[in-house]
Amino acid sequence: MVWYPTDVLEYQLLIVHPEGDTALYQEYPEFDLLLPAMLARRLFAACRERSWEIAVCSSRELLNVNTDQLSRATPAVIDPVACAATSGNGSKFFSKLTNAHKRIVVLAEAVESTRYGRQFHLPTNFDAVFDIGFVPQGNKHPFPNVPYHFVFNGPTKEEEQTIAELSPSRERPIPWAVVGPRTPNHLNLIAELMDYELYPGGFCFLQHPSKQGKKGTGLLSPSGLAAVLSKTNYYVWSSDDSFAYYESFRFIQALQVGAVPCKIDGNHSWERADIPGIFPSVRSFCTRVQEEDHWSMYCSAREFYMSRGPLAEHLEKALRLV
Amino acid sequence: MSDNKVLQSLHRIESGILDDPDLSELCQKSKAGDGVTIFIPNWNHRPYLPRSIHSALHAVGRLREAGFSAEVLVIDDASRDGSQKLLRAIQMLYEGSRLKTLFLKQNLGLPRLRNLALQMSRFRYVCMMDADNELVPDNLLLFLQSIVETGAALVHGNLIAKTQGEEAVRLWSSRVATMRLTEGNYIDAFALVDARKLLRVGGYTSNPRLYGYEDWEIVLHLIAEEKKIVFVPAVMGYYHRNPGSMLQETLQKAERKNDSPSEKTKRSEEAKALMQRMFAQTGTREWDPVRVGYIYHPAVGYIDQW
Repeated sequence: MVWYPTDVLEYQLLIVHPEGDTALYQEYPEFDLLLPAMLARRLFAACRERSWEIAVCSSRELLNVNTDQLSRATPAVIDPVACAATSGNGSKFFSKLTNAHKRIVVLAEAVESTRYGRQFHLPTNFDAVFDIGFVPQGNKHPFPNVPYHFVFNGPTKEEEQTIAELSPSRERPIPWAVVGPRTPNHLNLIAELMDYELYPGGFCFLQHPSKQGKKGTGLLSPSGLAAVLSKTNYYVWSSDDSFAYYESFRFIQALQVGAVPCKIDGNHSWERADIPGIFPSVRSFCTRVQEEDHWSMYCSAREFYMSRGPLAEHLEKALRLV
Repeated sequence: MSDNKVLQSLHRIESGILDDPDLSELCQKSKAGDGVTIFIPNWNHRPYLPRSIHSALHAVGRLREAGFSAEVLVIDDASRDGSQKLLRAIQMLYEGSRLKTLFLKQNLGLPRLRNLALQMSRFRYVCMMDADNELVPDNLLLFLQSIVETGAALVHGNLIAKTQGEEAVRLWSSRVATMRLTEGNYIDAFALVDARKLLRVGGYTSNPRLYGYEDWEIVLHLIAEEKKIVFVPAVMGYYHRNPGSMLQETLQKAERKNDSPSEKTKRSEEAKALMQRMFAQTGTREWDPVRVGYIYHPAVGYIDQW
């Protein structure tokens, strides 16, 4: 755990993420460890860009944090339910949190989801919830006693640099990639993409983590996914829920390595969100990729992402409201 | 191991086949490493043959465009539905293409047919299909590149299973090999195999107690022999499921006509028990931490998993 000095925030910000041990993941297969890890890394990077006093620890490490130190800190807890479950001692975890100056829940979830709701029925009170994403959901946030703050999941400086350096010349032999949980939506998506016979050589990897061995989760590693997407034109996924939610992390994963993020969602209207690469059907996706080349679509996505301002700026605004 | 030793080993396992002077002459002792034999076994599947053969011939065309050689081998296992007539007509239609057909007078059964294909194949790599499967022609190249580049004994990919009258789509053969395979098979026979490596371990078992489970046995056998099994995350083909699918007919054939449902379940349990006795003696191998399968894509290389 590392602390960085600053004078911007009155209290030290402590980012707490679920313990990343993959063996623990087997006990709680419903938790997505990839997303919290990525979220923690990006929040940390954004805070460092502002030279704030910041520390990062896992839920298990929090149990050993000095109570006095904690009383001067504001923990930003990524997915508290997962944190408690992977901490090794849920009641001690919440007891520790109670000692903190203020507490923030950090989520990247649809507010209507069960998982979102479960975060607010825990033995500790939170002072705010930060919703990290692309589309504000404040009007649907169901817990008025916990103030909701939307934080646009914008780029960090490092990401800005990486994205700016990408050029269209890079070889991309994989036409599309579908990577995600083995849901009926994703199965149908693959079958439909194959039915169009435009580009049958797509990359398809649907995980079934609960059926894997105890060693490992069965998920592609972050570096494995990045390696695949760096050779892919279109990173395609479909909504897994009956409610409208945009998976901003999929967008960022694609953009960082030059793939075009493409969400297929025929159930909701996305016109007002202004996010490029959302298609009501596989047919409309296939039509678009025949009409517009990969690099042009990539540039549209990049323009959207870079023009909204950096994550650090949005995070600072939200923190000042807590 | 020398070819003679391989054949001796085969003789022990498949003496019934190799004793037949007509069939033993068909064995290709040396196999070219620059192509694929696409094998389609047939037993009373006349209505499905045009689709499977068409996709296979299309795949041959694609491989040739990419600079590889390929052939299609169809062996009819003494069908009684007139498949032979259709196959002869197809062969005439595609005269000059790399389509080979063989008509057996006596029914050998699927595992022996597969072993015969391994022996007859002109090429080292054999794509094992069923008559009711359909290859994705453009993608066979990915699987060929993968097996050549990894030195695997078997590469498998996603199979889209479509059941007649059902909208739901399933994905088979889409999980990386782990020791969970000792609890049940999830890697289908529709895969690309290295004929040399499979023949060296004795090919598909024709043990009557494991009839219909030979694809499961070969996967565990290869793992036990420390051969590489690689998953390529692309769609290899389609599995058209219907009441007369190859798999279901093979299993039905293995069952006695008057078997009751409980007897069928008993047979299945016996086969599973036998497999576990052979490959999971301690009852703990399903928790073996060794990851036995790999993910590979020719454009990416080996892909890490968590």
